[in-house]
Parts: sequence; C-alpha cells; structure tokens
Amino acid sequence: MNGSPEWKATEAEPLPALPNTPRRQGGAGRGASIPRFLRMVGQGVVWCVQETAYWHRLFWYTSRRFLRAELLLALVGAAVFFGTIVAQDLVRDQRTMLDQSYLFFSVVMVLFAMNLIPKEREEETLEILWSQPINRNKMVVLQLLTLTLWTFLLSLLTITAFSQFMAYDEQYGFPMLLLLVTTAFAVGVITVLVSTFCRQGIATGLVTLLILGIHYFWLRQLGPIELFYNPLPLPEEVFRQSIGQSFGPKTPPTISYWANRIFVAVLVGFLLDYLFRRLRRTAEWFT
Amino acid sequence: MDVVCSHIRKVYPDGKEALSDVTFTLQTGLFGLLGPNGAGKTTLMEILTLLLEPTSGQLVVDGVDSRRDPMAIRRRLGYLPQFFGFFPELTAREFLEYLGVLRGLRGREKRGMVQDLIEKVRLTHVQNKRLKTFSGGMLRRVGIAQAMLGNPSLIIVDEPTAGLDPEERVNVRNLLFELGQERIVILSTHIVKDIEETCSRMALLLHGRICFDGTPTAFVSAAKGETWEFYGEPEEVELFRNQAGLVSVREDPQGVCFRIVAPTPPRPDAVRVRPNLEDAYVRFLQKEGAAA
Repeated sequence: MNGSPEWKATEAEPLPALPNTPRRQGGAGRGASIPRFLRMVGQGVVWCVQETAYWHRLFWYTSRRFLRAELLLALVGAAVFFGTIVAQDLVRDQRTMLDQSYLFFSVVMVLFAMNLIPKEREEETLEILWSQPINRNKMVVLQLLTLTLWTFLLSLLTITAFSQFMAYDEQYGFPMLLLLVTTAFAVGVITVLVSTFCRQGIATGLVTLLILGIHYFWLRQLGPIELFYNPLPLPEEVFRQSIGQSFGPKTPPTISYWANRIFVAVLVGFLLDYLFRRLRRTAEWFT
Repeated sequence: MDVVCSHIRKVYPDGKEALSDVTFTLQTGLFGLLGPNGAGKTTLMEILTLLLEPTSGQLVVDGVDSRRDPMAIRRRLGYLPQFFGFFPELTAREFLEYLGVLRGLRGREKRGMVQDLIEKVRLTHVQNKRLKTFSGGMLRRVGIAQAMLGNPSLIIVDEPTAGLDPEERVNVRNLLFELGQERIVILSTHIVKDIEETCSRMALLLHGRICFDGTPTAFVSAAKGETWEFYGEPEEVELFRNQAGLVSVREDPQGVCFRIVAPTPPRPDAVRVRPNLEDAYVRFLQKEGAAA
C-alpha cells in the first residue's frame, strides 16, 4: 500500500489551512504572536551581532591597510595646524574653530579615502576581493564608515585638547562634532567616487581637493547644499545675548541646521547611488 | 556539482570580440583550459568568476543561474587570478583570516580552516611573516590557500605556475591535482606541461572559440603521424625557425635535432616520432592559422 501511487499523491498534497490558526493568521492569538515577535527580535539580534562582528573585522583590516602613515600624518598635522592657529590667537570662538576644523578634517578625510579603491587596483587585489561572496557596495560603505570614525575620533581628540587653550566659554560640542562627522562622510563619498575615475590615489586626492575648494570658496552660498555649513553664532551675537534677556550659550538655529544636514544627506544618497552604479561597472578595470 | 557554460559571448565596448559561442559542461575533476596569450582565457575566467558579465549566453553553476543569484555562485567559488595581488602589510595568516571574514567564516571555524590551509600549502613556518617578504612561489601557495577558503566546490586558477621555478611549479601542480579529486578545478594556462601533468580533461581556446574539448590523449592524437624529427646543421636553425610547425630545436652529441609538426615530412631523412601535447598544440595553432 505504501508504495502505491495513490498513497504518494496523498502524502505530497499540502494539508488544508485551518481557519483562524494563529500561526497562519499573522498573530491572531496573543500567545502565538509573542514567540514570533521574539523570534524576529532574536533574528534581528543575531543579524546585528553578525554584522557588528563583520564590521569589527573590516574596521581593523581597513585601518591597518589604509591608515598607517596617514593616521600618523593626520595626528602630527592636527597638532601643528591647530597648535599654530591657537598660538597665533586666530581661533577665538567655536565658530572659527568649526571653520578651521572643516578645512583640516576635510583634507584628512581626503587623505584617508583617496587610496580606498586605487590602492586595491594598483596592487591588483580588487579581483580577489570582489570574487568573494560579499556585497561590494556594503563593503565600500563600511570602509568609509571606518575612515569616518577615525576622523571623528581625531576631531574629538583635537577639539577637546585645543578647547582648553581658547578664550571662549560657550560649548557647542555636539552640533560641531555632528557637522564635522557628516561632512567628513560626505567628503569620503566624493573622494571614493572620484577615485573610480582616477587610477591613482594622488590624482584622486588632488581632484577631490579641487572640487571641495571650488565648493568652499565659490559655490557654498549658491545652493541649499552646503557641506561646510556653520550655524554657530558670531562672538558679537553671543556677547549681545549674554547681556540681554538670557544668559548662557546661544543655541544655533536648529531648523536650518537640520535642514542643511538633510540636504547633505540627500546629496550623499545621490552620490552613493552613482558610486554603486560605477562599482557595478568595474569589470572593465580588470582587463 | 556541475558547471554549464552555454553559448557565452563577450564583446568589449571597443567592439573586440573576446569570446564567441563558448559552450562546455564540467563535472568533478581537473579541467585544463589551454590557449595562447590573447585567446580569451582570462576573459572566460573572469566570466566564470562573475567579475565580468557576458554579452550573451548563460552560466549555470550547480543549478544556479549566474544572473539570478550571483552571490550563491560566489559562495561556491574560489579564485586565483593571473596577477595575484597581495596585501603587503598583512601576514599570511592575517590575509587568509581577512578573506575568511569576507567569505562569512567566523570564530573557531575560521581559525581552524586557516590553520588547515596553511599546513596544506606548507607555509606553517612563515605564517606570521609579512607577505611582502614572500617569494613568488610562496605567494602562489598563499593564493591557492585563499582560493580554498570556505571549501568551495569550484576552484578557478588562472596561470598558476607562470613565473615559478621548476620545484615550485611541481608543488603547485601536485596541489592542484589533489584539489581536483573532490571538486571542479579549472586551470587556465598557456603552459602545455601543466595540462599534460595534471588534467583529465582539457579544452583549447583559440581566437575566443573552443577548438577542442576532450581528453589530453584525444588531443595528442591530432598530431599523430604528423610529428617529425631530423638532424641538421646549426646554420639551418635560422631557416627552420620561420617555418610553421617548428616545435623545438635541441642540440645533442649527434648534432642539432629539429622537431616539426607537418602533414608531410619536412626533409627526406625526417623520422616520424610519437607526438606529445605540445606537438598537438602546435598542430592546432597551425590549422587555426591556416583557417584564419
């Protein structure tokens, strides 16, 4: 009987769905939905742990591969640059400090990111990397995040260290760092995008600096997308406010602050989309 | 496990047709892909490793279409490119661990596999040295180890013995032979000896087309009865050098020995000899040259 075709056909047919079965109805019963919810949470936690572990390894390898002399150079450069401007009393308030930090950390980010793809191309490691079962977009973004994190740590260290020597008491640490980090990430994306056109890291760096220079010196007032946006108040405003109605630090204009960052995020989104499309067409690089 | 390549064609943006209608099916074993420089071997390798997209045609690995799920194929794939770049600042162990992470290996599994591979390619004594201090042969072995990470069922190696000294060449060949016992290994080379020593099946790629697909024995039989040897004077070397079908010239106590592949004896005193893979290769090149 077991070997007969009728028996096999009966076995292969799926069982009819029972009405109001909690598992099939997407959690009609509270008792059934909780395990499913917990399962989803569990899966989410496992995913987060795996992704964190992946990024953790990638973080260290990216740091070792791309930030050896560069990190040292950035540290020495930060000490010399900020030491000089503080010693010459060129930075009297956080607004000026943010302007100078934009300049310095943009250059640092370009220095960090300019070899991300050219170095792999030059050393012919790109073929091996991209034949691995990895999403190359995700990999590039995680590498960029790694470089941004280093820039953030460096800016945190520098600003904290040099704040001690400056003659201002208003504190806009958080907005300042957020502006620096988001701008650094955007600069990193621009650098990597440029590097898909230039074969060499140095050329990538120079072209990116040229683009950023044009934006910084000429085009920043033209549109809403301003990478080097500085909402911090001028010292006179702070002074006027402190002898007026309220004491304490003046808050930066919140709406324009977030609006600017949203515009920058949109710009980064477009640039990343274009970068991903460029990365899909990298096959020609190998031949 | 099988690899089905059907009617693969690749035309580059500049209009150059690198591959035209390449079709073959592979099963477990070592498959040699032979062809002169510029025949389209590297293009085919890059299509098989999904680095390049074919202009038309289909690649199916273990029932998975490359266009539908490339990631699933990459998980089954190990690749050693012709120009194997390495990360000079990493040690051999770190390099393998890094690629292990990218392949999705974690924790103990990754460490165990890296250790096994280091032992397998006999690099235990230098595993903690930086790759920039390695010789060409050692780097090739690291390359083979990375291709074996994650125990892939398809390994593709492009010119693995190019630039190696004879001892390293033998080592690499033996290693590839071992790998071919339980998985598909595609060995692309222009070195005939590599195919002769290791492969149970081979194909000849000329001008982007598969001109032969079969066993090395069947390949050799193409030059049967058409391989000749004769002794001549040293002055004749220049004369025969320009003749199509000249396989080798060697000097021994009796004089200068010429080996030539030709349908008719090149000289009345020429003796018919047993052909080898190299003779058959020259015969095919000759035929294709005439056809072109």
